[in-house]
Amino acid sequence: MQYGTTGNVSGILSSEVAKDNNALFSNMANLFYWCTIRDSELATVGSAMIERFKTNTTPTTVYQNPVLNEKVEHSSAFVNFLKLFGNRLQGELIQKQGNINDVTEINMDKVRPIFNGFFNMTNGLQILINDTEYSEISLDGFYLFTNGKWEADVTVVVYDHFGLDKLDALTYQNKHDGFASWWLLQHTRGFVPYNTKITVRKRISGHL
Amino acid sequence: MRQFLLFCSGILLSFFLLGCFIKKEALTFEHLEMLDNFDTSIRNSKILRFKSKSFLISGYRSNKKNELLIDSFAKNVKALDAATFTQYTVTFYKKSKQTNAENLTRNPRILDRYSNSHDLIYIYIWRDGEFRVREKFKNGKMIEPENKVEIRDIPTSVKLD
Repeated sequence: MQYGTTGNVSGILSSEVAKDNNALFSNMANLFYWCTIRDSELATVGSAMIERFKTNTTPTTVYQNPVLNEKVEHSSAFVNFLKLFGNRLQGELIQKQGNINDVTEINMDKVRPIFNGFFNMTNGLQILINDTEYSEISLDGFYLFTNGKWEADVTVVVYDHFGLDKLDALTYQNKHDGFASWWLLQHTRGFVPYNTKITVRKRISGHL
Repeated sequence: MRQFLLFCSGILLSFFLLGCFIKKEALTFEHLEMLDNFDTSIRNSKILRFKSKSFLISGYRSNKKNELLIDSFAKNVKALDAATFTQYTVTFYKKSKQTNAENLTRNPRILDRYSNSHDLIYIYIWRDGEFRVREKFKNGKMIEPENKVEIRDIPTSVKLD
């Protein structure tokens, strides 16, 4: 995650470059307002994330929010991701006659939960997360029943960077100048991005 | 009767001519080396190795013939030493204006933001050298094999804090 005061502003909206920090934060808040307009709870999370961005001092900071966890938990992107994992786990369990101890790590490779699309554009998850860095799924409990049914309790941790790179700033700044403001704050005014950590616990079940 | 035969002949001739003029594009495969991945992890003192390769397909249409061609290609791609990998994954994307080598090199995020939800078609997985599954995707969602697993909340009585 890059940040600092020496970012190359070429290509960034010139109208934004001259603004002071307050004006840039105000623009960024307006961007978040529109991108969370259909979900007031995530609008509140968005404001909290901007506040953290204002005061953060180290890029290793981890931001967590229970409302964000809950919204991710119920999103179709997350459910599809976990169902795909569950299907792969099911395949392994069938192969290993239900013995969970014989199932080695399942790698999801290029499949990740991504919170974009029309719904997430104005419901908050796209501006707050969008594409994610990586995800870890760990097993908390496993139950195998005599009828072949299995249940796995898992904790899914999704990691993301709350930061904006130049490519995204250049791509989206003409849709809303808040993108340019966000990039300027991070790369020319020294405001420090951080890591967003989303934690969800669910039960996956299937039949051998 | 003669008119009916002439009508039928006309229909058959039309289908024949149509068949001649419809462009039958052969499948071509392009290795997306920039997406190749090799990863390791350690569990119970054992080193686990994961490898994946990705390919673009031009001229793809969903039909049995193409399915068999892609099956055959994927099995040829699978490395001879696949048995030494915990998981060996081969992924196929439909080539499009967005999903192509030039675009993915310029902006790798296109893979997550577009390709996986629009152009991902197959993922083949081998585990410890044994073929495990061919997942078929449409609009980012697995459509084959049928996914029968269920996701639900953990009963509060067993929730961890």
